[in-house]
This record gives sequence, structure tokens and C-alpha cells, in this order.
Amino acid sequence: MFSYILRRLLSSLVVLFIVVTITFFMIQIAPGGLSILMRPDITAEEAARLARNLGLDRPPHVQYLNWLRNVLTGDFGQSLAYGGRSVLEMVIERLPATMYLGLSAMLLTLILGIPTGIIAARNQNNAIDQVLSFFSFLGLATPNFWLGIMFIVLFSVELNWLPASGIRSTGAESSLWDRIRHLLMPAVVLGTSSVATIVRYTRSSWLETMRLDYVLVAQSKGLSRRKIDYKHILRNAIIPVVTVFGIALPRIVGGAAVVETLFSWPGLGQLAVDAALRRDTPLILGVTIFISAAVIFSNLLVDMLYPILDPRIRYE
Amino acid sequence: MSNVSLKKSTHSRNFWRRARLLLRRNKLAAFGLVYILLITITVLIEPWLPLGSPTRISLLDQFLPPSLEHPLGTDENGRDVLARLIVGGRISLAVGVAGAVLTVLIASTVGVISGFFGGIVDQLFMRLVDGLMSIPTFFFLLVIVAIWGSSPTVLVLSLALTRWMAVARLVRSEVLRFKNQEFVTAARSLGASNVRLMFRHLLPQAVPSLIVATSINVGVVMLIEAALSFLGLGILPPTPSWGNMLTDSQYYIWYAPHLAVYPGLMILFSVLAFNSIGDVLRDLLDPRMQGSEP
Repeated sequence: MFSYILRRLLSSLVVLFIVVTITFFMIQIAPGGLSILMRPDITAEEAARLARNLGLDRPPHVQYLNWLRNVLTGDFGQSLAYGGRSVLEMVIERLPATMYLGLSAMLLTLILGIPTGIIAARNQNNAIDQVLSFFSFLGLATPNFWLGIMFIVLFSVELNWLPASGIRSTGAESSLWDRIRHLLMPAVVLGTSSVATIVRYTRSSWLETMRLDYVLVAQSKGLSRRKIDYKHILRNAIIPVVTVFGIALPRIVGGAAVVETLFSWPGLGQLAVDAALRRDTPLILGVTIFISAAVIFSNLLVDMLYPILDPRIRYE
Repeated sequence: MSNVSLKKSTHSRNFWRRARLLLRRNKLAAFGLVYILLITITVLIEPWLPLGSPTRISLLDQFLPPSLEHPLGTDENGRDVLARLIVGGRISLAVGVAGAVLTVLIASTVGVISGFFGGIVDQLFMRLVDGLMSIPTFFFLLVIVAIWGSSPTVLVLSLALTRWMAVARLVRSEVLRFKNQEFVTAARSLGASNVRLMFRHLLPQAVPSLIVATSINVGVVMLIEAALSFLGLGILPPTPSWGNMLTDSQYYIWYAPHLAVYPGLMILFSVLAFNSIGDVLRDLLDPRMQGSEP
């Protein structure tokens, strides 16, 4: 088990290294090179200091090491569009809103996706399965921003049930109910494609497990369907679903850029889109590296769950 | 054991009969095929259609209801909605197809090299694949657009560069399956070079999977392009695209919600179509998948 954890840790570090290297290459081949990270309106001394800090006058490998050091110490430089504010500061300020929305979408994905997948598998090929499979197919093909617009048309414009934007009502102290009302549409829209993915994944994982020998043994012992399903299949079928977390996470985080913008949600996704629109290179790079690192780290945490769910790994 | 005889009979039928059978069973794919053909023909003959201008602004004609002159009415700038849908469809479809083809080209090259040479090359490529697949690549698209601006070329390139990983893994596994078989050894002993072995003998084995992957990727690339255009970071106005038509409609949602419906439905149907056609192609072309699920 120790070697398993060590292996996961190392591979996470490799991925982080890949991210930092890719961003470095992107800057290198950009028109203007590293200077795209500098504000045009700064004084000559400031520019010289920054150039030294970035290692503009040094050979590429030194520049790379500088970049690596800066990124690893959380020094993403200063925003171009927001009057030179520290990028790290801005990222940390926006992080809670994104985590709140992302975790809600992930929770929705798990509590809706897994049971639905199981229902589809237990009804393999009958009408219920076909309807559920069709909807998961639909969920994968629906553009999330369009689904969001349709939700706004229906629930905000027509029915006037839910607020169309923001994380809570401005002004007076907001209640829990107010926050839930604001969260509902963004979380559902953000979760849709991951719910669809996880339904398909759980379904096929369940069907695969169902055909294993030990399930046949349980059946021949005369155990009830219920007992076989929930005591024998579930435990094994759920293991690969943990992998889906790793698939759903980048999807949810990537989707946050669109969903946060649509619903004026004050998180990292909205900040990233705003930075891209304003050509604020240090800011968009900072958000991207930070968010990639966060995803890599969360994946690592979930991988630590594996030995708990699958005892075979513990004895490796 | 009826399964076996069914399998056998499916095998012996010829290609087109099986295609027809699969399409009859998968109504969604049949619909998708017709839809894609119609859209393709429409966007190609658009210059000869009697439509209003998709870009000329005429503030006197704002929000006109459907009429003979404007079959789907006009938008907030008095432009013909149908003409915009068709011209927008052309660019969305073009970016989708170009992006998917480039994705598959990159994936094929990486996959075939990785599988063929194995060892450290394979290790490096596969770690890169794992890495890129575990991070939110959408943000890298934002970085690319922020640095290089958005044009159809940048879009196609960057979409392909952030999407090739899964297909590369697929090609690699196909290459691994075939690289020690007799026909490869025979070609090698006849003096075929590594490049010839890779691209003339091994890669063709993966072609069925690549066709399926291309079809599904057209849909996915269209979805991402639409999202970027919606955010103002993809196809930029005045050129209409299904994605950026939704950006504008957003501001008039209280006044003209129907404007938001059409482009979204076009995207949804296209992605559904390419996905379901991909499913049918998989059943039709991929011998390992046959007989598993309809």
C-alpha cells in the first residue's frame, strides 16, 4: 500500500511538472515572449527589475528554472488589467465561490449519477433503461451554456422562481434559502454532463461485475436478488466509479468557466474568462496553473480512497 | 447459444445491408445522418439561396416576426435569423470537422510512434497523455486565445492540441495488438523501414477506430467551439456562429427568448447526430465490439 501511495504521489508531481512546462513553452513561443507578462505602462526601472526576476537576459534553461521557482512559490506575477494586483491574491479571493459551486455539482453528480446508473443496469434493455440511457446521451450532447440560458428563460423569465445571477442577493443579510436558490441552476447546469458520464459508467461497470463468477456463486447459493445486488455487486461495481471522479473533476472545473460567466458567479472560472477577454496573460496563466494544481491534488486525495474501497491494493 | 449463430449471420451479411440494419435499429443515428446531410448541403448551397444578409445591420427591422422574407424573423440588429443560422452552421461545421481530423492526425502519429517503439518513448508519451487527461484543458484554451487571439485557425489548432490524448491511447493499443503479428514480421524481413511499418502496415489496422473517433470528436469539438464563441473567445462577430449567436441572444432574453432557442437546438442536434453516427460506425466497423450491444 505504501508503494501504491508513493506511486500516485510521484505521478501527481509529474503531471504538475508537465503543466508548468507547457505554460512555459506557451509563453516562450508567444509573440513577444516573456514580455507578455509585463504591463506596458510600468517605468523603465520596474521593467528592468521584472526582466531580471523573469530572467529575460538569461539563457532559456535559467528562464525555465526561474519560471519553475516562481510558480512553485505561488508567485504568478501581477495582473495587467487589474492595476497590478497580485495574481495569487486574486485567485485565493475567488477560490471559495468556485469550490462551493464545484463541490455542489460534484455532490449532485454522485448522488444522482450512481443510483441512476444502477437503476439503468438493473433494468438492462427494458423501457426504464432505454429512457435513462437516452437522457444520459442527451446530457452529453447539450451545450451547458445553452442549457443555462434555457433554464433562465424558464425559471427566471417565465416562472420567476429562481434568480438568474449571482451567488446571493445583495443588500440585506442573505438566508440559507436564498443561497440555495442562487446555487440551484448553476450547480445543475454544471453537473449535467458529469451526471450523464457517471450514469453510463456506473451502468457498464455494474453489468460487467454482474457477469463475474462470484456473482454466479451467490446466485446458485439461492441468495435473493436484493442481497446479491447490494451486498455483492455494489461493492465491486463502485470501485471503477471512483475513477469517474477523476474524469468528472476536470469536466466540472472546465465547465465552471462557462457556467460562472453565464450566471455571474464570482469564482475562478469567471475570472479566467475575464482575464482571457482582456488579454491579461499573467492572470489567466496564474488561474490555469493554480486550478490544474488543485485538480491534480484532489485526484491524489481521491486515489487515497482506493485502498479503502479495494482491499486488494492494501496487500500489493 | 443463439448468440453465436446471430453473430455468424451478422458477419456474413455484406457491409451495406448491415449498415441499413443498424440504422433501422438506431433511429437516432438514422435521423442524425439525414440531419447532417441536410445541414451540409444547405450550408454549401447557401450563396444561391434567396436569403437576407446575415451581417447587414438594419435597425428598422429589429425583432421582426417570421414572414416570407424572413422565415425565422430577425434578431436585435435586424439581421435575418435563418441566414445567420446557415452561415453560422458552415463555420461551426468546418471548425468541427477540421478540428476532429487534426485531432485524429496528431493522435495517430503519437499513438503509432508510442506503440511501435515502446520503452522510454512510450513511457514519456503515455505520461503526457495521463497528465493532459487529468487537467481541465478548457483553461489552456483560454490561455491560448488570450495570447494569440482567436481566429478559426487558432481554434482548430488549439482544440486539436487539447483533445488528441484519448485517441492516441486507442491507436497505441491497436498497434500493440498487431505489432508482433506475422504480417508485420514479414514486411520487416522484406526490408520495410520503421516508418513504412508504422504508417503502411500498423496504422491502417486502427482505421476503423479512427473513423469512429473522428465522428464523435466532430461533435465534441463543435461543443467546445460553441462554448468559446459564446464567451466571446471563439468565432468573433460580425461572423455569425451558433455559439456567438447565443451570446447576443442572452442580452435580449427577457424580450426575445426565442432567439436563444434556434442556435442551441442546432448545436444539440449536431452533437447528438455525430455521437449517434459514431455509435453506429462502431458497431459497423469495430470487429471487437460486434454483437455486444445494439
